[in-house]
Amino acid sequence: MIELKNLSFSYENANTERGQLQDICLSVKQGELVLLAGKSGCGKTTLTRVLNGLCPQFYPGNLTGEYCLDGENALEMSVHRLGAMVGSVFQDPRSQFFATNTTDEMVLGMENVPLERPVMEERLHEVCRQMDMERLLDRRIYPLSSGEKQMVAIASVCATKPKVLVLDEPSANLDSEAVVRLGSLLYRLKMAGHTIVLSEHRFHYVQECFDRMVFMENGVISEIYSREDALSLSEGRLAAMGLRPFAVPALRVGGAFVSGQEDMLQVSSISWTMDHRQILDRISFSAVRGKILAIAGPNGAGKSSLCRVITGLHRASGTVCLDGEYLKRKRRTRQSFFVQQDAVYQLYAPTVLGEFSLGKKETPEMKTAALARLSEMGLEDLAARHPASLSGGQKQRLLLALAAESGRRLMVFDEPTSGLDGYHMRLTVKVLKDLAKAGHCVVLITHDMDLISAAADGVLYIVNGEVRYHRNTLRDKVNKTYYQCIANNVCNTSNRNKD
Amino acid sequence: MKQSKFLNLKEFVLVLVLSCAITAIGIVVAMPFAFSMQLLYFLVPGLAGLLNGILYVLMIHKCPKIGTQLIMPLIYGLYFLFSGSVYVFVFFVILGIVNELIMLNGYGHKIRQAVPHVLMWVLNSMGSTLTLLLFRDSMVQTYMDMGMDAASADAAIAAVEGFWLAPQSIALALVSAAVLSIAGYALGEKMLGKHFKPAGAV
Amino acid sequence: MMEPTGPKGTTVDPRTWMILCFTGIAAIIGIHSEIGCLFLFVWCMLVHLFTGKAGKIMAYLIFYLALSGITWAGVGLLQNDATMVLGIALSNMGILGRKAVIPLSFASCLAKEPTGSLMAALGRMRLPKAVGIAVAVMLRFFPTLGEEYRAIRNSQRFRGIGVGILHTLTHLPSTIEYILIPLALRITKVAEELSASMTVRGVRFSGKTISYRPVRFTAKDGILALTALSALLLLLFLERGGIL
Repeated sequence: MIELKNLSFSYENANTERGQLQDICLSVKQGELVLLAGKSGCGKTTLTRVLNGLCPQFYPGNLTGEYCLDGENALEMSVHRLGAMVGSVFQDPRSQFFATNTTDEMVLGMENVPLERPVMEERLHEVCRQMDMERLLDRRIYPLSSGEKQMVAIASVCATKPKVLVLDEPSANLDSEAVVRLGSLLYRLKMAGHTIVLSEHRFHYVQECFDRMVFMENGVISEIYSREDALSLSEGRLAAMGLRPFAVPALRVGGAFVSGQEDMLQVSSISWTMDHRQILDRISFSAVRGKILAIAGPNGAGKSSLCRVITGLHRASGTVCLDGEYLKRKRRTRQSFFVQQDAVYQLYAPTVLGEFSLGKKETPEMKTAALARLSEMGLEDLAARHPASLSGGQKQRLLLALAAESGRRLMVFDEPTSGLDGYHMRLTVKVLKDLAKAGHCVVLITHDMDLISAAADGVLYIVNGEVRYHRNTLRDKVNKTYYQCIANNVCNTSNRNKD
Repeated sequence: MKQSKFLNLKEFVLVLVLSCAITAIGIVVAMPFAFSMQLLYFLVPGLAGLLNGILYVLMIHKCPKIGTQLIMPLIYGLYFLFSGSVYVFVFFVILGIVNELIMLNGYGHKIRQAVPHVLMWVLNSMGSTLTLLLFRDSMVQTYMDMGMDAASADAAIAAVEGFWLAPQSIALALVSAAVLSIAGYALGEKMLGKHFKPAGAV
Repeated sequence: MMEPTGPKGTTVDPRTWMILCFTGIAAIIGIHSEIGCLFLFVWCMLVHLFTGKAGKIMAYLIFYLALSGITWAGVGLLQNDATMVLGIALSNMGILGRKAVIPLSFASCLAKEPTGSLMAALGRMRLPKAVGIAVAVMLRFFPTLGEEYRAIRNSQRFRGIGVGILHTLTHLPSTIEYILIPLALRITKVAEELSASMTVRGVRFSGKTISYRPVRFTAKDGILALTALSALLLLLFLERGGIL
C-alpha cells in the first residue's frame, strides 16, 4: 500500500535539524498497523506529513526519493486527492476543528469527497456507534473537553473510510476509557483492511493489534521490529531507547487518604456552575506538602475547572486553605503556580533566560539562580533562544524550571506529559519529585497512567464533577523495577540532554 | 516551486484569523472611551493603529500576497455593516481595493508597506463622521421626540456637526491617528526582530 | 441505540437571517422617529419569539431600555451649554446603539447557524467557495478570541505580571507586549494547524461539495422575509405620511 524509497525531506527555512528525514525506506502492506516510535523531534510527525501530502505541498521543503501509494506516484498527487486516500488525525484537538458544531465537523471530509447525503448519514452514525459517542452529535464544539474534541476529530477521519489512516499521537488528550475505545476502533479498521500508520508515545492500547514498530532516531529509521520482537524488548532497553513501556502500568490504589490538620492544601465543598451546568459538586480533598497528588477522571469530568478554582482563576463556592490559612481567590493565585497545557500562553520574554527576570530588574544573583535551574533541566545551552522556538518538551521543562524558581507553595500542572516521549516523561517525573521533595505541594491533572504510576503518591478520581475516590498509590514490584531502571537512565542522561 | 501571487488556503486562513483579531482589538479599544467624543475622535483610531501595528506587520511578513490588504478592511467593515453603518462599510471596501493597488509588487519596501496600515487607521477616524451623516435625521428626530423644539434640535445637531466636521478637528484626528499608527508599524517592526523572527514565526 | 434520523437542517434558512439582517439595516437607516424605532424593535423581538430564539429577548429588552434611558439623559444634558459635549456623546451612544441592536441580533442568529448550513446556503447563493470558507473560519475563530485572551491574562497572574489595573497601567508597554505577542504566536499556530487539517480533509477553493445539511427555503422562511419587507415598507409609509 505504502512504498517509501530513499525518501529525504528538509523543511524550508528550518533553523534546526529537528524533524528532518533522511533516506527513509519503508514498505507498508495493506491492512498493516505500523507503529512509529522514537523520541520527540526524531521525525515521526514529518513522516506522517509526507504520507498525507502536507510535506511539501503545505509545509514547503526539499523532498527527494520516491513515495508510492496503492501503486500510484503519490508525490504527483494533489494534497486534497491524497487526503481522500490518507486520512489524518493531528495531535492538538483544539486547533484542528473547522466547524462550530460536532456533526458538521464529523461530516466535513465526506462533504468534500463528496459522498451522497444518505451515505454520509449512514457512516456518521456507524462511526459514532463504534466509538460510543452518539451523545456528542449535534453539540457545540467549544464547550467540549480536549479529549471529546479529539474523539470528534478521529470520527471525522474514520467516517471517510480512507485506505490509509495516519494518526499523530491521537491518545495524547484522551482518558483511559476513550483510549481503549480508540484501540478497539483501530483494530476494527485494520480488520476491515485499512492500513494504519500510528505515531505514538503510548503503545499499550494497540499492543494487541500492531504488526510492526518502526523506531526512528534523528530523522532516520534505526530499526524495524516485528510485533513479537518489539514486545520482547526489555524494560531497560525501552528506557534506553527513550520509549514508554508497552504494558499498562500496574497501578493500584488503596487505603483511603486520611486528611489531617497538617495537610498543606485543604479544599472544602467546592461547587461551581457554568451556563446552568453543575461542573463541580461539593468537592473536598486535601493534599500534603512534599507529596504529589494526581487528579484523574474521564474527559470533561471537571479536573481543570477544579484546579482553576483552587488556584483562584474561577470564583466558586467553598473554601481553600493553604497551610491552615483560609485564602481568598486573589491570594490563592499569588501563592500558586498553574502550568496549563498550552505553553505559548505562558512564555513572554524574548529569551529563555529573560523569562526568569520577567517584570523585574535582573540582578547577578537572579541570573546565577536562573542558569542553575536551566542546567538542572538540561536547558542551559538554550538560554539565549526565544522560548517560542523551543520544542514542546523543552517548553514544558522551562515552565517547570520557572515554577520551581517562583517559590510558590502550591504547584499545579495540567497534563505535563501530554505528547512527551518516554525519556522526557521520565525527566519530568524526576523534576516533579524534586519539587515535591523541596517542600512544595504538587498537583497533577493527568490521564497519563505512566505518569501517575511513576510520580503520584495519591490519586483523586473525579467523575461528573464529584469525587469518586481519593486513595494512596500502591506500587507493585514490577513497576518499581522498571521505574528504578528509568530513574537511573534519567540521572545518567539528564545532563547530556540537548534535544 | 513557483509561488503564486495570490493567497493560498493556508495564508487565506491566517489573514482571516489575524483580521478577526485586528477587528476585535479595534472594537474593544473604543469601548472604554465611548463616553467621550473627543477621545473617540482624536485618540481611539490611533490607539487601535498602535496596537494593531504588531499584528499587521506579522500579517504582511507571513502573507505578502494579493488579497491580504483587501480582507482586513473588509472584515473590519463588516462589523460596521451589521451595525447599520453602510457608508463605513463601503468606505472600507474602497480602502481595501486602494490598499491592494498600493501594495501591488510593493511587499518588501519598508515605507510602502506602512502606507495601507496608516491609511486604514487614519481613515478609520472618519468613520464616526460618516455614521453621523448617515443617521443625522434620526438624531434630530430623537432630540425632538425627547422634548427639544425644532430650533434647539437643529442647533444641537449643528453643534455636533461643528465638532466632527470642523477643519481643525479633522486635522487633529488625522494627525493623531497617523502618528500613532506609524508608531504601531514601527513597534511591529521592532517586535518582528525581537520576537517573531527569533520565535521562527516568520 | 440511536437510529439514523436524517440530517437535520435548521428551523430558519440562513438566507432568511441574511434577508432579515439587510432589511433591518435598511429599516434603521430609513426610519427616524422614536416611535418608528420602537415598532422596529418590537418587530425584531417578535421575529426572535416566533423563531425559537426567545431566550435572548429579555437581554435585548434590558439593553434597549438602558440605552433609551441613556438617550433621554443625553438629550437632557444637550440643552445645557456646560454639559452639551457629554450630552452629545450619551445621546449618540443611545440612538446608534438601539438602532444597531436590530441588525446585529439577526446577524447573531446567522452566526449561530451550524457551519454546514451556512456554507450550503452561501453555496446556493452562487457565491465563491472562498466566501463560505471565510465565514466558517471567522465564526470558528471569533468566539475563541476571548478565551485566548483570558488564557493569556490568567497565565500572567502566576508569573506576577499584569496583575490588577494599577500594575497594568503603570507597565502598559510591557503589558501590551506580553498580551499581543503570545496572542499573535498562538493565532499563527492555530491558523496553520487549522488550515492543515482543512487541507487534508479536502477543503479547497474549487471542487464539488455536497452539503450534509439540507437547506430549504420553506414557506415559513417566505413568510418571515415577506413580513420583514412589509413591516419596513409599512413603517416607512406611516412615518413619511406623518402618521408616526
